[in-house]
Amino acid sequence: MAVPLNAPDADLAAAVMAAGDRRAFGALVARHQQAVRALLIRLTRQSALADDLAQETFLKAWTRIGSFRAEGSFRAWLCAIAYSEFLMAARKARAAQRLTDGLAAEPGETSTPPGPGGERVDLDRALAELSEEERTCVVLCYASGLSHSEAAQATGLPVGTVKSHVNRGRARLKLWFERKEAA
Amino acid sequence: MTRPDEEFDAQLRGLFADAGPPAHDPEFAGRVMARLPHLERWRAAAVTAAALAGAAIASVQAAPLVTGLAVVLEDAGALAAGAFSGQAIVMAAAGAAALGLALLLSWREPGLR
Repeated sequence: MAVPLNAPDADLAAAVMAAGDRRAFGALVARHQQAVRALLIRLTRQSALADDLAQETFLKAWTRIGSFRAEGSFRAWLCAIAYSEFLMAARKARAAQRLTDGLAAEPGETSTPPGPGGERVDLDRALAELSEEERTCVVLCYASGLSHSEAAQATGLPVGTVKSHVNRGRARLKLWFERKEAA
Repeated sequence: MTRPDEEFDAQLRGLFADAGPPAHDPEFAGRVMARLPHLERWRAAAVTAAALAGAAIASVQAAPLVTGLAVVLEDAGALAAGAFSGQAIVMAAAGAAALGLALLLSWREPGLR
């Protein structure tokens, strides 16, 4: 019997694992595409690149579905793959530092913010002030809604390190917005 | 004056909520699904059928070659007299090979089954 498309993530993933159920996988893609694309847009700040990496993320998820453990969050598992794709893209650019420099630049013609609106641009600019690790951890915890331990799982960092990055990143963002308000 | 962390936390969550997620892309899932590897079970089935047909033909052609072996086995008392003809032995061997081939061709990683 086919699993209903509104079934919980774990049930859909089980159907994919057991029988390569493409319909169930399609439902998972439809359900999580926005979250994965949002994460990658925040990390890369380039919509086109983020969409490409999001597609690669789901293709990897299909081939690695056997490694998903139902006791964990499917979204956190996807975020881990997405983050790994982001890092690989950075390495393919031959220098992660070059990419980081590009990400740290002010929003320009080559980067497309998620949408119009002053607050969105402000957030992009504020995030650009953070280190790559801080930005990643802040985005995973605040934008993707992952817990510290899920973010640690996604990034491969110790939980304590994730907490430090989140706290430091939040402090720097807070300072950035306070300075902006004062200006 | 610095604001309490809780207040800024709420503000930050609000900013992320206002800024995202990106618009739902109805074609995104279709693009992903189109790139998924296809199962190609039909190909495995066709190759298996061809292998079985080849095994049947080979068994007929090669039967005389093993008749001598059957005789030796019969002489040694390993087989009941007349129970296994040379053709039957070849068919069994070819069938086992074809089954192995079919299993090999239809094997996929767990996610690709």
